[in-house]
Amino acid sequence: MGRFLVNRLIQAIVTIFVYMTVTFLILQAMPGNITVLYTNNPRITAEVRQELERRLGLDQPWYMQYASYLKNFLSGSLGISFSQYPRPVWDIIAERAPRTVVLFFTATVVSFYIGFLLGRIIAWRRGATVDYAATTVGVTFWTAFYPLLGLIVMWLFAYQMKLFPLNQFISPSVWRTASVSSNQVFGLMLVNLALFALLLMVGYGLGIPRIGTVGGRALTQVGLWGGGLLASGAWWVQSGLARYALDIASHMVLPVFTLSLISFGGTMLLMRDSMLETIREDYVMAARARGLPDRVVRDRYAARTALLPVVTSFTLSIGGVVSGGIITETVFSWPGLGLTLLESARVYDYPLAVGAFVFTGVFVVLAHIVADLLHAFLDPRLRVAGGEITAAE
Amino acid sequence: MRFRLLGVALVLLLAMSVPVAAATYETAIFEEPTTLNVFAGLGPQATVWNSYVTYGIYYGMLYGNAAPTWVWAPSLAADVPTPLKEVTEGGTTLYTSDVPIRTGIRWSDGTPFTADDVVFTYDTLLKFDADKLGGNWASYAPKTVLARVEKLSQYKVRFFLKKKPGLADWQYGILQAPIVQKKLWEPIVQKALKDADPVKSLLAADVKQPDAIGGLKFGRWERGAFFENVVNPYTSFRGETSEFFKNGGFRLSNPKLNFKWATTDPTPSGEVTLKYTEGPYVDNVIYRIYQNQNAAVLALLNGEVSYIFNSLGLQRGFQTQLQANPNVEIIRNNTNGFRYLSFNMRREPFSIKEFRQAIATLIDRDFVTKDVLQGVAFPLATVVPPGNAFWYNPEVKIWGQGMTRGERVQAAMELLKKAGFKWRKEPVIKDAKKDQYEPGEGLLLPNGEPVKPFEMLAPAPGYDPLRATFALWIERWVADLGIPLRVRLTDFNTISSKVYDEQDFDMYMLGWSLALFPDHIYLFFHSSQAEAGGFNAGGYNNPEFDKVAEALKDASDLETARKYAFEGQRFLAEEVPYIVLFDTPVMEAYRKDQVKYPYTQVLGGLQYVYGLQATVQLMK
Repeated sequence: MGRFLVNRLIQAIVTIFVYMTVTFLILQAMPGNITVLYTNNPRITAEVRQELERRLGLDQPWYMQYASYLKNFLSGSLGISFSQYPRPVWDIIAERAPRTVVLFFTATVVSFYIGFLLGRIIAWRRGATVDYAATTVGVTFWTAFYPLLGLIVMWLFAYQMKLFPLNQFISPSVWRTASVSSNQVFGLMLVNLALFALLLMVGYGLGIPRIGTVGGRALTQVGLWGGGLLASGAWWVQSGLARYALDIASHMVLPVFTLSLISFGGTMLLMRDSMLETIREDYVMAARARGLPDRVVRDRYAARTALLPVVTSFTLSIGGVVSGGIITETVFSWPGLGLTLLESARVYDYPLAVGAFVFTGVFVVLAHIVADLLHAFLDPRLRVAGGEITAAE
Repeated sequence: MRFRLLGVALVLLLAMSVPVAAATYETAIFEEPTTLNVFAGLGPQATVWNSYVTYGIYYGMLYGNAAPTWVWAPSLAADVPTPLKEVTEGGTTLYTSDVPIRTGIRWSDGTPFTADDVVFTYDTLLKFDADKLGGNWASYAPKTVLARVEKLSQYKVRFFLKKKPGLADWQYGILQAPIVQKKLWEPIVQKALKDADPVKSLLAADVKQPDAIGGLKFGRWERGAFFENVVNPYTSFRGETSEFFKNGGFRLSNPKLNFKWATTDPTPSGEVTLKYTEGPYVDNVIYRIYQNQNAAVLALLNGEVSYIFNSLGLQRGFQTQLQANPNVEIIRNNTNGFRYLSFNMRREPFSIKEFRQAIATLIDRDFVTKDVLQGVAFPLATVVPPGNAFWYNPEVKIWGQGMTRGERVQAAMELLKKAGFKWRKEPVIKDAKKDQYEPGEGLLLPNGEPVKPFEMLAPAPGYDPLRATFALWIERWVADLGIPLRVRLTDFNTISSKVYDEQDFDMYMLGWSLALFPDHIYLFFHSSQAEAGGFNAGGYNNPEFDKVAEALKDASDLETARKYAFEGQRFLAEEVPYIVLFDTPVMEAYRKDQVKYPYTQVLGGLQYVYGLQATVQLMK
């Protein structure tokens, strides 16, 4: 296992290096540089532009700029933003990342949870009306034009029905006198989410499967979720920040809803296919033959094994949440890392663009490693041998 | 349990929706400001969004241009500067001018504004070298002009200049530099000067509460969500009245400061066309940051914001959507800019004046703007747009004006023939008035060589569909004369690099937003600007024109400058280094049931006057 991990880490480092290089070269290949923006102002003379190029190191050949970037990266710095000169890139990423992670992590969990639940049900009742209906709805939304769907959702629920805020991530009327910044609250929300996830992992990983009766397990699940929610609520109320967290949460509803509508279909179909394969396995047939209730066979025998590809897909998606989504962030005015990537590329802010790409790339690579490890742990048919995962014979 | 929690959440959400009591002017912006540091914000981080939310509102200058007529007038100064006086110092000739400063003005922390702040500001710009600060600073302290500024008394300063400056460098440059507060900036400047990279250090200074001298000051900034300005409790401009007279005169009066000033040429008399009094009349201004126009338009329709700042103006579809709402008013203003076609005059045939005139003759601006673009754009023909009325010369030559297509072809053909061009197959004009003609083929240079196929760079439809459309029509029209032009629609940056950095192009189409003073006549066309990186990218070179452009640049009074600006426009319309094509009006929208402005007709639109935050009034 150790050797496998080392191999994976070496591969990850090489991947990140290649990724950084390719990203850097693609950005360099764009015509012009940030001083092009100043060509709109004739009072900014050629000398001033040259001075700016010198200051930003753009007068150096590309390989020197690359060397400088690598040196910065290896020393733990991502350099200085050109468009917000001389603000460090890390500052900007640290400001944008929590917003993106909170939104997209929530959306990913919600869409996977819905997809998993529906996939499990429709596979078990394949050919029934619910199967056709869920599949049709899932595929329809999966292939929908996302910006339009986002606008329709916003128009319907925020503009017409006025149920939720129109867009943005906070309300100025709530925050203009706040003693904390929204980023501090986002940070606390991340901590809350992590603790909640930990509670559920521990609960599901250790406690619930050992409880013998179906009723007992259901009760424990409700207790786990309810207790977690209550504890979280109490924590927010006690901190005096509940009003702000709720404001952010209310702004998250529509983007999370839209993202979930778009993507639950993928998970649902993946789960459905996986379940359909699993329920043909002998041990599922044996469980049925033993006269176990349908629900037990479905949930404890078929669904647990069928969950493997879904877990892998989920893990990889979690790795991608840090990059956010340009369209979501644009439609819902949610300025996170996705918009940072777009904007930095548009204005030739190479350090910020490469920094943001690398930051998100590292998370995706890490997610792949975690997915491999999870797979190895969860699937008893797989064994780690010779630094690679192989199927056990 | 879950339903109970949901209930609690809903109650809390309802509680949150109760509006705050402050009288708030809420607006929409599309990009986040980047800094509170004025040196960075007007330097490498100069963006229009920084200017909307801070620079136009916080900072004062000695002199400014009073909207909506843009008359040049004192702002922090008490009167016009004294005439330049020649002095000699150690064998060097300098020019001096004294500027009196208004008394009684206070900064947002309550401390008085004095000559020390003025001297400190210019001293800082000179110490750091305004060129190195980047952005707009170079024009506020041009090192070839400004020598130093000295304090004569608590409320009077003396400028020392290396040469006699023109209006662009003096009235519209140095004297319009934002003045910073010495108390706030002196420690930062001192520390920066000791650092290894002083400029970087100054630009990196983290200013938590920027100095302000205008009606508003910084309140709160939630990055990515909103920016808030609040009333500057020490504002000295509240109650200041501006009066605009029909005869062009202008009068300022501030009872609080016991200050009065009026133009002397002309002296205000007769009918007052506009009078307004500075506020602010609101408690605060909130700028909500939206990432797209859809969101902002919905917010305006919903009444969440009262006005949308948008440097590009409202898109046509949104205008229709907004017009349907009786509470929304759409306003249309002229812009101070133009979109144009230009040539690389270092190459044949573009170096031949008649060739450029022939192309200009073939282009029917009216047809494209009215019939093809359905009035979204309006035609322009000179490098100073009519909206900048004082400097606009309405009597320049417009090639092909009022002609039919056939007549245009005929006139263009005659121009080319006059310059010695020939054709393999000459165009045949049967009835010019009825557009009956046969196109020509194979245009030949005066030396008999065929005109080689060439390319026109124009922005792609995604960037500017209007220019892309215009370009395709031009390609079609010039083909009538056998001119082998191929349009290449590409992105702005490719054009910009090829034009300004590499100067590797045949023809290109771009656009300009302009300053009020038309020194661009010099910057775009004087031969000294033709080197790589200069703004005379086409390499236009005419010694006669250079003299006019220099005279304009060096003119020290408005009338002389105006005379040369008119002469320059006439010259350029005849010589055609640019074919000025069109521009679009700036369309804006606001909630008339929520806010009331003292005026809405102003060059560049309300955004050009920062949404009139110090004079807007909220409706009851």
